[in-house]
Amino acid sequence: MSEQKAIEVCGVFFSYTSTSRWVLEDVTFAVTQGTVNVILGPNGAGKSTLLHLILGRYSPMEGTIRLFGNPMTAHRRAHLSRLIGFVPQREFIPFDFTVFDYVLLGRTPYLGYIQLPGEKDRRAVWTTLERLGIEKMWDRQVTEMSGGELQLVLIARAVVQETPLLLLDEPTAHLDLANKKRVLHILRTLADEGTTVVFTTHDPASAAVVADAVMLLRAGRLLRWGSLEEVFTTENLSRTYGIPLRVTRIGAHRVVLMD
Amino acid sequence: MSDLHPGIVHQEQRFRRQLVFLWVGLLGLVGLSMLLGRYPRPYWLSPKQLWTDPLALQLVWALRLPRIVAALLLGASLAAGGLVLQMVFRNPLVEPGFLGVSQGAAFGAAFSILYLGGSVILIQVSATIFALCGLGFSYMLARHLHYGGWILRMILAGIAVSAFFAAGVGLLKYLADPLTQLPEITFWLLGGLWSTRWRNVMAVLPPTLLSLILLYLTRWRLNVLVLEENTAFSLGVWPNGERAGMIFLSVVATAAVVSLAGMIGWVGLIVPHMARRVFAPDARYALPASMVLGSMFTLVCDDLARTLTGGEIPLGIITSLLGALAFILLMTTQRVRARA
Repeated sequence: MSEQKAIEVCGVFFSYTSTSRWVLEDVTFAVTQGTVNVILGPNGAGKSTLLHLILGRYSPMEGTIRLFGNPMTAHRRAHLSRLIGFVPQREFIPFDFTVFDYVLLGRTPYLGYIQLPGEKDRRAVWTTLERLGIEKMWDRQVTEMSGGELQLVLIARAVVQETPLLLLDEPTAHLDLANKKRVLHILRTLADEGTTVVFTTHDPASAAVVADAVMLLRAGRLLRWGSLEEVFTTENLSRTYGIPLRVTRIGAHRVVLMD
Repeated sequence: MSDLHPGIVHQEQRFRRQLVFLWVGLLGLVGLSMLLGRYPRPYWLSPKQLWTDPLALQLVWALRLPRIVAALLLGASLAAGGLVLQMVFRNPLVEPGFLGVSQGAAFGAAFSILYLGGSVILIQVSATIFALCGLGFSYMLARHLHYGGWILRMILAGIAVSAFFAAGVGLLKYLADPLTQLPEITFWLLGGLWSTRWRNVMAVLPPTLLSLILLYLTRWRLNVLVLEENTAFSLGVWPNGERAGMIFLSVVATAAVVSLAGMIGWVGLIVPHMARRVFAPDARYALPASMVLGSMFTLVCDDLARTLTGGEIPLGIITSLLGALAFILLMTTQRVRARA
């Protein structure tokens, strides 16, 4: 059971318009349930697009994406929202919602069309806030938070959705080291508790800390994918970023150095 | 599972209590408005007189009450429409009047008076269609402008489309029969409720009430539409379709009351801001609060319009005056978050 695949991407081609060149070209990989998976690559490699395809926002021109054994098209929208949680790279919230009210929005998949959240939903939010250690901010306004705090709130909104699969777009891009560590630790914990986590990043250091598996993406092509040990080599990373890099080990950690 | 923070429960109870207070206040205001007026003497009608003076009763029933109901519908629709557009466009500075909706509705109404015979139903349908056209043009134009950020482009596009329809209204006025059609058209542009009778109120009641009820019932979805498109999608919402539905409902409500009262400015911008400030941006509270506050605001303005002087001050002038003052106060004291 533990080896069942959460995501299977098979021979996927995608472009935003029919005339432009491929944004993704022949991408194939699979994601094992309950692991942390990192889509790693330079800016503009197609990482976010790949994430949006898995989210179901767009359909591939060619190839298939399967979620938990079933093709994407077999899942209805309402059902998808109970399978996949999504944390965008940035969330501009134009009104000053409180943290609690914002996170409560994550319960929407469990509400009928004209239903309001109830006691159970409020409890789920509170439990999630406590789990992420941000319950003290419950009445702060999301418009007045630092980047690190806001990232935790965005993650809380997706976690309260209680989905088996969590997608995050550049969750560590704007964070300082302490916040980065905190977010990565949360993602690791979620995966250890059974959630499948997939996130994109351009930062190899973030990947090296938590990844079970890594997909290296460059210019829409998947260069390599596999376990961290297999993929995280000097040669692979240098090819991905197009500059000479060196991967060394310090104790159990892999460190990427610029030459 | 640990217990909820008591503050969360308190806050929800406080909001519900405040909403009840607002409703009570609105009812009191309605009662007061029935007695305000210039019969039998300026400003005040004693409630006792309703039992003794048949003319007083007749006047309250046939003239004041339909006008009060119209003011309530007008305020609730404009404020709810404003809040919905602000949330759907993710922009706290949007108002039906800014986006060509009001001018479009006025053009539709004038067009129908001139060329379609001017029955109440036809005026409404025509006002709604052109109001939707106004919004659609503004939105499309804003997407194609190559200047400024999203808010600025929306406002510029709205100005252009409004001016386009205003020119159309001007042309229709020029073509109109100065004795029969022109006064009717002029009425839209000033805005007011002095000619409102039960017949007019009953004509706009079904579309307005239906739209308001549907918006009220789906107000949780409105919260989700405030999020980025991909996030809303991941929560099981169909962003474009549900946005279009919400916009349609708010424009139907707005156009219906505009066909009744003409162009009434500022309610749709200022009342949602007040509602968000008193309650929270969460539409669970902000939407009903906008409806009630909008009704109260418009009713007070209409009471002033018909009571202050021996004649009648056009309602649009009073709402604009008070609305603009409130807007200046809000904008100088509160940090409004907008992506310019």
